[in-house]
Amino acid sequence: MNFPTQDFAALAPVGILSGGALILLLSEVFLASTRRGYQASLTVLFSILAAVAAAGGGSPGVIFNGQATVDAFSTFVTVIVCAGLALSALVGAGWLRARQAERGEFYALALFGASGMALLGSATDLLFAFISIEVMSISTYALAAYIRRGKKPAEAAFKYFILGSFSSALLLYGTALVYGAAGSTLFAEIGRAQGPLLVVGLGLVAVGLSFKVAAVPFHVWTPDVYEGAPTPVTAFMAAGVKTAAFAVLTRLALVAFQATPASAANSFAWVLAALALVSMLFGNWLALTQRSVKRMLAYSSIAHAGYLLVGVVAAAAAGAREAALSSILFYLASYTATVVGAFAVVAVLERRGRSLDEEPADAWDLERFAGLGRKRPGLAFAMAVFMVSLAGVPPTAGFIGKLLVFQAAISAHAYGLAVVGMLTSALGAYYYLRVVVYMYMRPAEDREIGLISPAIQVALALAVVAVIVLGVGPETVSKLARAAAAIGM
Amino acid sequence: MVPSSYYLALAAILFSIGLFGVVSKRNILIVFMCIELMLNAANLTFLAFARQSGNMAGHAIAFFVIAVAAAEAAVGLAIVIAIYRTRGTLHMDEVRVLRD
Amino acid sequence: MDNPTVAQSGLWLLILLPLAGALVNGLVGRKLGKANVALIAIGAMVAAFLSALVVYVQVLAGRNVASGGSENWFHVLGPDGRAMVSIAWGLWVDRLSGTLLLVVTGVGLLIHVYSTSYMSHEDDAGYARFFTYLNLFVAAMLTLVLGDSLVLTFVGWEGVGLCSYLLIGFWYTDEQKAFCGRKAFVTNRIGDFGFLIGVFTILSIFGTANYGQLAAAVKGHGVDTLLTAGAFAGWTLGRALTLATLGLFVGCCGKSAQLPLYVWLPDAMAGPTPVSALIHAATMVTAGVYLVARTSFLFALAPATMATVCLVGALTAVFAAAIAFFQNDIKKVLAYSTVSQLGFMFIGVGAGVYFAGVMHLVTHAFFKACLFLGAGSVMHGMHEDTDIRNMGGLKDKMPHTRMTFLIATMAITGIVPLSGFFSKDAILAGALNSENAAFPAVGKIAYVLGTIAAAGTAFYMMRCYFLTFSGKPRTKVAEHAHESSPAMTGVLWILAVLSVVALLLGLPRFEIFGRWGEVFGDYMHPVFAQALGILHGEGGEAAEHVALWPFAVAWGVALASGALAWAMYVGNLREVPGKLARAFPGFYRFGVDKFRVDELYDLFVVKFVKNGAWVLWKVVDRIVIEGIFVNGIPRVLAGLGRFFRLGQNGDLQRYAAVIAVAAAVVLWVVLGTGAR
Repeated sequence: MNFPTQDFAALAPVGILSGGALILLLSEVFLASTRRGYQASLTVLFSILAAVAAAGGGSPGVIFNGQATVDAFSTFVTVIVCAGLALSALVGAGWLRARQAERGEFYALALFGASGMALLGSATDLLFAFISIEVMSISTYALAAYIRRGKKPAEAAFKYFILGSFSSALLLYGTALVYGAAGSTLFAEIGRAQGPLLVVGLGLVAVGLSFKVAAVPFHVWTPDVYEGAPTPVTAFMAAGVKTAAFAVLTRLALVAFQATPASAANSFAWVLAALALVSMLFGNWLALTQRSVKRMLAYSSIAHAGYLLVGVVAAAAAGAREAALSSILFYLASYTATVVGAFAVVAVLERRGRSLDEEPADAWDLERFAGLGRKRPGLAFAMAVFMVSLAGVPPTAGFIGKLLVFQAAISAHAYGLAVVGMLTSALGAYYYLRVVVYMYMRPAEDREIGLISPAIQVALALAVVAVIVLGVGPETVSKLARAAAAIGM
Repeated sequence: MVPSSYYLALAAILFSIGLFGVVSKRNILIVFMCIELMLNAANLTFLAFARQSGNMAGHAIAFFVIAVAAAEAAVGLAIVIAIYRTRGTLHMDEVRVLRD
Repeated sequence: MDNPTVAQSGLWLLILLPLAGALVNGLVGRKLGKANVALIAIGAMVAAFLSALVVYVQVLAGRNVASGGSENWFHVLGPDGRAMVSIAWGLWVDRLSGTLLLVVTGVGLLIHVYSTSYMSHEDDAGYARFFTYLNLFVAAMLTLVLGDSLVLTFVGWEGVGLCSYLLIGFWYTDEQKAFCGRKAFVTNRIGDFGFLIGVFTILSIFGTANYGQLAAAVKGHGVDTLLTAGAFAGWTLGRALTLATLGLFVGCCGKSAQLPLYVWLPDAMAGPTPVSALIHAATMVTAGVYLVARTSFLFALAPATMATVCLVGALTAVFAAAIAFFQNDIKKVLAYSTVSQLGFMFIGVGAGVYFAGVMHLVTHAFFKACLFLGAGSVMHGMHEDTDIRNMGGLKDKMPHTRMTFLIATMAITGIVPLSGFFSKDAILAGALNSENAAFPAVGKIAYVLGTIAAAGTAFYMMRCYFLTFSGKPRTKVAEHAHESSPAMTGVLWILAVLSVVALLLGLPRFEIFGRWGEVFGDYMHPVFAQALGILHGEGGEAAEHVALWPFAVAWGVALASGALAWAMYVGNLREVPGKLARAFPGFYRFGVDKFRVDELYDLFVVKFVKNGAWVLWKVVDRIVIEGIFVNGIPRVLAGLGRFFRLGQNGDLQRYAAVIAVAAAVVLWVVLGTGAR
């Protein structure tokens, strides 16, 4: 048996990301200078390289005997992940520098995590998916605990770690059962089996993935972890982990829908539809009561998981599959740009205690945004753009994403989900626009203007441009998304 | 020879014990061990099925899982130490700052 | 819409100019000083108005102007993999949108000028903020009007809603005013939901939201055409369009303040008066009328919707006029009068006399803007007092304000020969002669209700005028009132003159008027030809009814009730209003309380939610809902949210248990239904 050189070549982006991680780790050992500005730049460079390699690498198709598939879909996912990584790294640079905590490990861990996410985008095998998830998750567990001061980061990491491993164990046990039923863990071969063993196995796998995408009721960890983790890490989790997890969930859902007997496929569709429904309802609902903007964004990410799940459900209907898949990809791209930007603003405005260990209870309170429109018009404008996009108001990326998803749902005759989606979006507008109201219509409480960091400003500018460009001229990206929607199984 | 269904049943029991432990034990280290127990139960299931069907893939998978579990344990223990350093105890009740 | 088009990329300038003004003033305005802020804002408006004139010359020459219709915004794929829906960024100016374009930029410019004086008491930051919002509003309104598809119109629709919300709550430090802003916001969200349903339905039927393509798609089809593809396969075109147009009309009810969603508009008077004039009288609130006129060919294929539009308009006209009888706040009177006049416009577009509805929109923009700005001038003179009972005798103190207010009042009352008479009469006469396929009597009903409302209008407007300007000053403040600055009175005079000369648009088709008969109707004919063709048969026209008696009735009614108002508030019957109020105290209170509709909503919506919540979740009974409607719903939701958050108690093991139980439920579901 030959060494599969070509198969490894197809995974060049992953190689670049993990190679970059190693370089950054070593740099911390050998270049013991106090100036670490180059590390963020290197991270951005590696993510751009990986994205270029992914985009230029073509679509070799099935590799490693079917365990992975490098196609337009995985390329699209890789590019989104790289974009999320680059933006989060820029945010991290400013945020960490202000806390004198910038180290190579941070970027190395982020790059490792991104390589796991990129792998996940091409996984077509349950074991491959499991290992990719673990590469991604272990890196993010460590990132969540990156700041070793105060109680919150450690607790966030701990909760994320225990619950994440718990769900991974469920997923792995499900994989084992599927293996027992089908004699293989390849997506392509799962479908040939049937019986209760397979159904239970796939059910456990679905539970594990629902945890990763933070769908209600598997969302319980999300608010606590998003709040406690360092803000740039939260941004990275919200953008990258969600994208990667949705990529594999989508691929698996298509298998489950297509291959298992009709009745089982039906019940999976029902389960996903129910998860979508409660995620939209509860995510928006719980976000309403939050005064902490960071926590509000955590709940809103749960709601957005619900909208994305609507897309996954629509993909179940044979007629609307392509539209649904491209809508999911577009939504992920627009959500990545928007949510990283929003967390970047949160990172800028975060209130810090007098000592390093102090954790003010109102660090992310809405009051922090009061009067921002006067204090820092540019920052307020950026936040307003992100909020409007999250609320799904034209002409922003969020609007197009929602429109595509709901249109796909209507084509798939999932009218109920589309209507609930629209209604809950209207509900969501209330708490998103409340931030805008605070920024422009409340007098400032104090003179603090938050962090000033060129790196974060670059990230914010990029995110604003992306959100508006995707909203005003989405044609280019949506064309790519449509091309990527043809998944070769 | 012991039939493979015995192994499967044992694995299911171990998995349930692990699951129950995660939900009910109040000591962080024990919760941590219970998660390891769940992963190993899954491993045992892989091995049992591999033996039952004569398909070698299951054996290979078990090694992958062991490697992953080791990596997870390394990071996990580091996080547990961080918890201990900030709180001075390993009791679950102390890890409830983040809520609502 | 088959006229030849001229590529005019300059069309975008119309939107970009005010937008640029808003950006500059918003970012650096407060550092520039008031004079520069005003210069930038007005400069942008002048430039926009001039560009609008240039564009309009093309339209007058019979050429429609389009821009960028081929630049794709986005596609949605259909089941067959081809583009099912494609939306383009495109602007479109024909005679309808061109007319609105002139009104928005023209009246907008005047109101900008007026505001430079009116808002001069604000500090620099507030001044800049005001003009930022105002310019932003104009940009959004132009997007709404010029957009060549429902989607782009919706962009503008949301934009004007946002600006309206920001401007109502302009003095946000006043809790009550901020609350009014929220009320407008929530009510409009209900309407927007209907709008979205309409748009999605239309997209599902036709795969396009472009007005031109929609018109082409329904061309030659009747109500009974069976749809063969899409989500509505098997429906008749009429049925599907009824659903779609009803959705759109719910949106119109929200934006244009029709029953039952009108409640926000009177409260919107909390904003500065120029805002009430521009947004809540002349332009934004007429967006619903514009939308129905724009998509007239779709509404014409849905007779049931047409009947609904007509009836809702008629009921609103009467209802709002009745409430206006009892109001003593000058801005509230004008607000209810706006609601009532919008009702007239909907009678027009609902009865199929589209041109009359649009004509009333135009004339109303002139005289109602004049009235509101006059009210603003009075408020300035009266030191922000708005109660007309405290006024009186202002005719000598504020001669310009008084004359213009009188002219505009006569215009809205329908005194011949001012513009309001002809536009209102064209609506009523048209409604009387209309035939609705679904509900034949609706035109007659609308005529009767409309005539009653017209009588009411004459009465309460005259009452308002007499109480404000006639007689003797009733308070110290009124004795010392003073005329406003020339910037304000000059604008008032321009608007007053416009409300007179606009009569040229609306002369009825009588021999004596020669070629001036129904000039606006003929001018608008190409826009509405398709809808009229559907309503009256291909190539057919509405039967010519140039009977004289509806005119005589309308004139008589206006004069009679205007005279009655004179008698009751100036003349010999001055005792009567007080006696009536004493004779029917209950009814009087009921009227003063605006028929207690707000309280009804309170009872119905809020209490219902509250009781339901109590039964379902006893835990939340501690959430006392004292606030009304707007405060209520978010609070109820927040309360429920708090209940569900009990699960989020920070205990990791409870989270694990939730996950485990949920996983068990999922397995139970998939096993129970899927294993066999």
